[in-house]
Amino acid sequence: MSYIVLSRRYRPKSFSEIVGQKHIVTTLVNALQSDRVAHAYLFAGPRGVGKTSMARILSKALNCQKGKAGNPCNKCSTCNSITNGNDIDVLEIDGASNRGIDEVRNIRQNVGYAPAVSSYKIYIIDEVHMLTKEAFNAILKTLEEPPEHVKFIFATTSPSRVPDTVQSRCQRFDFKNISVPDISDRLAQICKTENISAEEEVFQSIAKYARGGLRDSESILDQLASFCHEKITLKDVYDIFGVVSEEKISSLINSFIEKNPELSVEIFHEIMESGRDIEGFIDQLLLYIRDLLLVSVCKEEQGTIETVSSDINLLRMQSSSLSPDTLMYMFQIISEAKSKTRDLLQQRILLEVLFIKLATMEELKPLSTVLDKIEGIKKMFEGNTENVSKAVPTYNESVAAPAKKEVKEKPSDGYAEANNKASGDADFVNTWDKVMVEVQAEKKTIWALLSGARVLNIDNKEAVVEFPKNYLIHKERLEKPDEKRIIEGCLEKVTGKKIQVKFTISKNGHKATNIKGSKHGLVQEKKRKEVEDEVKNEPMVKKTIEFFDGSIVNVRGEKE
Amino acid sequence: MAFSDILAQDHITNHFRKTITSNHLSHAYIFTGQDGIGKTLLAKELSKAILCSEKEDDSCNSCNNCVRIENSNHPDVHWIEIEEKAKFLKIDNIRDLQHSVKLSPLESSYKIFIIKEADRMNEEASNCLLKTLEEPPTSTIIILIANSLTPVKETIKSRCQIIRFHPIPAHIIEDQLIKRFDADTSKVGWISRFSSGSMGNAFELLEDNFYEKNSDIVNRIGVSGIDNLLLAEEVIDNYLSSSETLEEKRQALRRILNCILQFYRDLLVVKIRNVYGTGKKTTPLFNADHEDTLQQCAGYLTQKQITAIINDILESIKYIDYNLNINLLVENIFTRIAMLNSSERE
Repeated sequence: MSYIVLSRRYRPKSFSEIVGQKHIVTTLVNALQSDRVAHAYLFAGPRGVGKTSMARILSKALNCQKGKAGNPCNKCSTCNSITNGNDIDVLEIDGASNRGIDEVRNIRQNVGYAPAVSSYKIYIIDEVHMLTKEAFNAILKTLEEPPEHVKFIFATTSPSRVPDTVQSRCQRFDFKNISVPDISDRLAQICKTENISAEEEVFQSIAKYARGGLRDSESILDQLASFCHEKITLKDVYDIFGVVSEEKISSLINSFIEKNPELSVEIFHEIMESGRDIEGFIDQLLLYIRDLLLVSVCKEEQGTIETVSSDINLLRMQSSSLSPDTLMYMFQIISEAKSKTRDLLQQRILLEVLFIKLATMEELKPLSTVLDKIEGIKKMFEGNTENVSKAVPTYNESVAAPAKKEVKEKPSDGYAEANNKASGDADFVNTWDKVMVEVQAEKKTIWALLSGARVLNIDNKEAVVEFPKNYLIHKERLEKPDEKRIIEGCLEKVTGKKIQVKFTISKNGHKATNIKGSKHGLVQEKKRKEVEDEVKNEPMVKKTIEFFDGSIVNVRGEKE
Repeated sequence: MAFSDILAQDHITNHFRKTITSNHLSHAYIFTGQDGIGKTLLAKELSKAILCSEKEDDSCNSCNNCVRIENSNHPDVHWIEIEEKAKFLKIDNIRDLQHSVKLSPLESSYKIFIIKEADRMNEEASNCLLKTLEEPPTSTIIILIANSLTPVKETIKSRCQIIRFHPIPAHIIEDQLIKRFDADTSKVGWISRFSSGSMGNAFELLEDNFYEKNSDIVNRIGVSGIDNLLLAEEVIDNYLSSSETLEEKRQALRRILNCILQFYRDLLVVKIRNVYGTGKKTTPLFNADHEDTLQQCAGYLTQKQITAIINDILESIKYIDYNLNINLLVENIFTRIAMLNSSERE
């Protein structure tokens, strides 16, 4: 006879043995006693909390030959055969392996036959969420109105995948995760009957790491029991789980606080050298940060917070030097790291980089303080409106001047030089402007073609006009004799001399100058100026400029 | 081979010795740990030890049972593997297992099922396994082998005893490499660090002459002003053109990127040392023999830049598994590195 693991041997056999699901036990026992048992149940809940066991106990209670007051006797042949899983009337079906419509049709066919020995024919479908859509739909009618002697019990870990139509036909019971004290009590009880000696804290820590699953904790206890033949110690638990000791983790956090990246990398390296599982380590670190966060947020008296790590004073101390926002950020980037890569080397490097980042970053300020700051600025605005009018005269000089300067400086290549030269003897620029007006009157298209260009020089014989780099086509069109003659005609009109026009292309690629920016007396331009002035005189704008020591670079209308 | 030949996993072998002698074997185990660390080997050794007709808590390697297990043709030891070209372990594989679980062992006291790559079971397969895994018939042992526990469903984990394999310490890998292959001591140091505790990995690296490749790559990226396209072309010509299938190419590229990643990680450590350093040099560098290059690079790269490069490489590694042109990917990666290298400092 081979060994049977604890979790199977200690599977609860009666309602009273079930741990931590009081709400369900009470309901079911009352239903049995008052003979109000529904024909279909859905047991939902996480792994290892007693769904299948509950289903078996319920079917025993229903079919037990001597059953009294809703508790199975566990002695009669029916009870025994159900426990062993070979009862003729209680059919435990693996929903994940028999998930097709054919299997369900099979059930449907057999539902009609009366039970062989007992009073009820009970179908337990475990892992029911894996049934196919067709299978679920095929069972609907049967599930709604089964024959009197038939009961259905469904068990699943993911009730969300059971269709609503099925759920609405069942009584649904949600199993809870089992609490740490409940698990540790149960483990202590098992140890007593099994003659396993263990330290007190062992049960606590097993229960914590099992995260609510009783079967998980029993598996672990079993493993521990066969691992260490004498007394089970806390260190054994850490070894089995592959967890890192708490001191290591807290010293890692300390290195973040002390801003010592080299130390963090070193500690991380030590942890990895000791052969720990990297994913487990990330989980643990996350739990620790969660503890810190919890401690820093709940400042209430001790005992109200359930932390995973034991040293609450240390937690308090560390959390006082880390803001909740920093902790939140840590949590976020570390948990992201977990899913980022599965390659061990990459994971290690990623974590190292993260730790260095955490150890070198500045303390994050909570969003609320930033908001407060902004709020304060807003108040300053509202309180100081009367001062604004006084500031007007000084404003125009101090602010508008740099703004202009900046605009001028922008085209710093060649163009600016040309501009400077132009301002030196503005004569020919003015001449050209007059010429442009003439051209506009003569032939609009030429004016349009010319408007992107600028004049470089006009002397007695020649006028040099430069086009931006991408204006080659304009240049070619204007070089046609007809067009050229018109321009030269206009030039003659203005200057009274015969001047030849020469077109060139800019080498350093100055972009087309803004047409609106050139002063050809367009109405739009005037309007724009007005708008700009209006904006400049707006008190809010003035105040903003003053406050941030800024300047107006551009004014844009709503539609632009 | 016997338990004693399994390296650096004493905690596990001792555990199984005890459980076999005290007849405390669980019906379900998960062996977990990274690749090339001895999980499959131990599964084999464990089956031998359980079924061996000579010895009690170990394998004799000479009896009929041991020999047949060694050659994978023992009728009571079943191996369940992913079918060729399949991406997952499918429900049909598990149904086959369920069928054989129902039968009693042919000639031994136990029948043993070993599921390889159990972390690559698909949804249906893992759910299908649940009931069998929870309460198999007596004298059945199911061993799941998984590189990582994360993809394994909670419901499966809760039904098994989880056996965690530790990475093999660097010095043991070094010893083995020297003993078995008579390898160069200078190489061995680097390989043992790069293999991150996986013996299988270390063997491959040695065979591939990866130490030389790494030095070459480090020398190339360690200079200022990387010519990205030229470098990409060289990498493709030198390292990727020899591999025939796409999968081989991917594997080769992954290794190369890991090298580069390592280089920048070292760079970051050096940088940190220079900026915050206490003078102690306790954190080992992967490329300890290229420290001059590292120092030089650390001189002109900021911490932010290095971090950005590392993140970028990690991001690119993800794309390897996608269906895209590998050569383009290589070019892209080097271009990005070169760009970040020369990007303006803040």
